[in-house]
Amino acid sequence: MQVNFRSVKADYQLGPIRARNIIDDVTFSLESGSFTAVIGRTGAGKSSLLKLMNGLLLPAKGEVSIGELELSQQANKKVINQIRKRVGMVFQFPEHQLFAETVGKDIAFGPRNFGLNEQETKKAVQESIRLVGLDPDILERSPFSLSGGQQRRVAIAGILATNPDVLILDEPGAGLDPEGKQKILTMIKTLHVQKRLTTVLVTHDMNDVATYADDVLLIDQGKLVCHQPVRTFFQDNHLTSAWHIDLPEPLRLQRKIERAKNMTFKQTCLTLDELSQMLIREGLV
Amino acid sequence: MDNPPMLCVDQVTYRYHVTKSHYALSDISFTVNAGEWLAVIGNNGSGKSTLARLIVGLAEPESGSILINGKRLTERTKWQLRQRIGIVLQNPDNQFIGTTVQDDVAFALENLNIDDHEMQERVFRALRLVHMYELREKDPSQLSGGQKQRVAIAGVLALEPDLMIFDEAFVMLDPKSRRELLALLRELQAKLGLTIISITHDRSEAAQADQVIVLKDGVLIDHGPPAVIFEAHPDFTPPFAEQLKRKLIELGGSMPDAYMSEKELVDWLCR
Ligand SMILES: Nc1ncnc2c1ncn2[C@@H]1O[C@H](COP(=O)(O)OP(=O)(O)OP(=O)(O)O)[C@@H](O)[C@H]1O
Ligand SMILES: Nc1ncnc2c1ncn2[C@@H]1O[C@H](COP(=O)(O)OP(=O)(O)OP(=O)(O)O)[C@@H](O)[C@H]1O
Ligand SMILES: [Mg+2]
Ligand SMILES: [Mg+2]
Repeated sequence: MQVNFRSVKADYQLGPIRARNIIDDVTFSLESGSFTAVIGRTGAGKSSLLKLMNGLLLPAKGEVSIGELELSQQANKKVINQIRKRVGMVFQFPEHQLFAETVGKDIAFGPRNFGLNEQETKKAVQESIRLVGLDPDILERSPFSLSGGQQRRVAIAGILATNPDVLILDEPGAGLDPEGKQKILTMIKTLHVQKRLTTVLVTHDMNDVATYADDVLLIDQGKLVCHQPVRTFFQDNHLTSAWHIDLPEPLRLQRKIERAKNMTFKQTCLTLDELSQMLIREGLV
Repeated sequence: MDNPPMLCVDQVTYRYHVTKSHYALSDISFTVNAGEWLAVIGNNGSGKSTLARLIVGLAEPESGSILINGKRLTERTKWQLRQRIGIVLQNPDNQFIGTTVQDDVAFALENLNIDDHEMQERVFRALRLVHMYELREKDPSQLSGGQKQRVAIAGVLALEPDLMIFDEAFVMLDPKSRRELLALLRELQAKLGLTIISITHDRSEAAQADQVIVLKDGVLIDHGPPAVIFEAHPDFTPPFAEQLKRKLIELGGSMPDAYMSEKELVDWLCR
C-alpha cells in the first residue's frame, strides 16, 4: 500500500498560541512494498511523522494518503478507523500501547476488533506470541508485570496479530537484548517480504538502517532533508557528516582502516559480509 | 584503601510473589568500588531492573543484604542513603512528577535542604548539560522520547549523587547525544570519583565499563572486566570489531583467536 504526504504541516496545537509546525511542509511518497528508515535527531519530528500515518495526529494543512484512503484536517472517524485497520503502529514506549488485564487479551483486542472470529483470533494470538519469542505462559500474565523488553515484545505481537498492510515501528529495538532484537527485526523483514508490506522504521541505529531498510528518510526540525536509497545515502560523506549521521559499523571500520592505511577502497561496505569479503579480496587477511 | 565499597550486594534473593516459585533474583552477590563503572547486561527478563529497584530501596530483598558505603540498606536507613543515589528508570514516564521540565528536575533536589538560588542554579546547569534548557517550561508528558530521557537524566545530574544508576536510560538518544552524554559521565567519574551502574543492551557501551556483570534468569552468571566477559561468552553479540574478526576466521583468514579490541584489530589488519 502506498503512503503519500502532500505538503503536510502539523502541530500539537496547545492553546491559542500556535506552536511552530512540528511537521513543516513535508512531501514524499513511499512505494508499496518499500522498507523505509526514518532517522533524525532527538525531537526532529520522527514520531510525529508516524502519528500522521495512522491518524493519531491530523495534518493542519495538506493531505496524507494511505492507499486509496485520505487523511486531512477534516478526516472523519470512519476514515480514521479504516486507516487504523490497514496501518499497524508500534509506539516508541510500549507501555503506551498496553492496556488489557492479561497479555492474551491485549494481543487479541486488535484482531477481534477488526472482525476475526474467536478461533481466528486465538490462532493470531498464538502465532504472534511465537514470532516475538515469548513463552505462551506469558499470555495469562498482566502486561504491567513484565520486564521492559517483554512489554516491547508484547506490543509488537499485538500489532502483528492485526495483519496490517502498512507496518510502522517507532524504535522497536529499544529495550530488546541484542540477540532478541536481531531475531525480531529479521522476522519483521521476512514478513515484510512475504506479505509485501510497506514498512516504516524509526531507529537511531544505523546498522539497522543498513541491514533492513531500502530507503532513508532524514528529517530535521520537522522538515524533510532527504529521501533516498540507503547506499546512496551512506556514500555521501558530505551529507552524513553535515547531519552528524553515524556510519553503520562496517562502513565506520572500513573508513578507519582506510585512514590507517592512507588509501580508499572502491567499494562501500554496509554489512559484515561485505566488509569481511572485501578485506580478504584486497589481501589484508 | 580501607574505604568500604560503594555498593555491596550480598546473597540477595527476590520474588515478586511470595506464593510463586519464580525468583526474579536468586542469591546475587557482587561489590562495586567507589569510582567504578559497572555495566549490567543480560537478556530481557533476566532481573536487571529488579536489581536496580532493590538497590534504591524501591523493593526489599526476601533475603540477603545490600550495603551502601558500608551501611546496610533498611526501611529505616533508606531515606538517608537514597539522597546519595540517583536513578533513571527504564521508562521515564514513571518518573515524572512535575508539570514543567524545570519543576520536575527540581523535585529531585527537594530533600536536600538547599536554598532556592542554589536549587535553580543546579537545575539550570543540569538542563543545559542535556540540552533541555530551552524547553524548561514544557510539560514533560508532551516531549519526544529522547527529550523525556534527557529530562530524567538531568534530574540525576542535578542531584550530584555519589552513585548513579541508569536503567537503559540512553536508548532513545540519538547516537551523537548518547556519545556526548557518556563522555560527560566518564568525565564526572574521573573528576568526582562518581560511581556508575549502567544497565544496558548496548555491547559497545558495556565494553567501555570497568566491570561487567551478567544476569541470566535471575542468577549472576559472570563478573569481570569486559574483555574477559566477551571472550568467555561467545554467544553474546560482541562489539563489531570482534564480530568481524570471527567472520574473517570463518572465511579462512588466519588471525589470533583471542578477543581483540577495535584498535588491536585495525593495527593487525594494517600491520
Ligand atoms: N504531545 C505533544 N504535545 C506537544 N508537543 C509535542 C508532543 N509530542 C512531541 N512534541 C514536540 O514535537 C517535537 C517533535 O517530537 P517527536 O516526538 O515527533 O520527535 P522525535 O523525532 O520522535 O524525537 P525522539 O527521537 O526524541 O523520539 C518535539 O520538539 C516535541 O517536544
Ligand atoms: N511487577 C512485576 N510483577 C511480577 N513479575 C515481574 C514484575 N516486574 C518484573 N517481573 C518479572 O521478573 C523478571 C525480571 O524482570 P526485570 O524487569 O528485572 O527484567 P530485566 O532484566 O530488567 O529485563 P528487560 O531487559 O526486559 O528490561 C521477569 O521475568 C519479569 O517478567
Ligand atoms: Mg520519537
Ligand atoms: Mg529492565
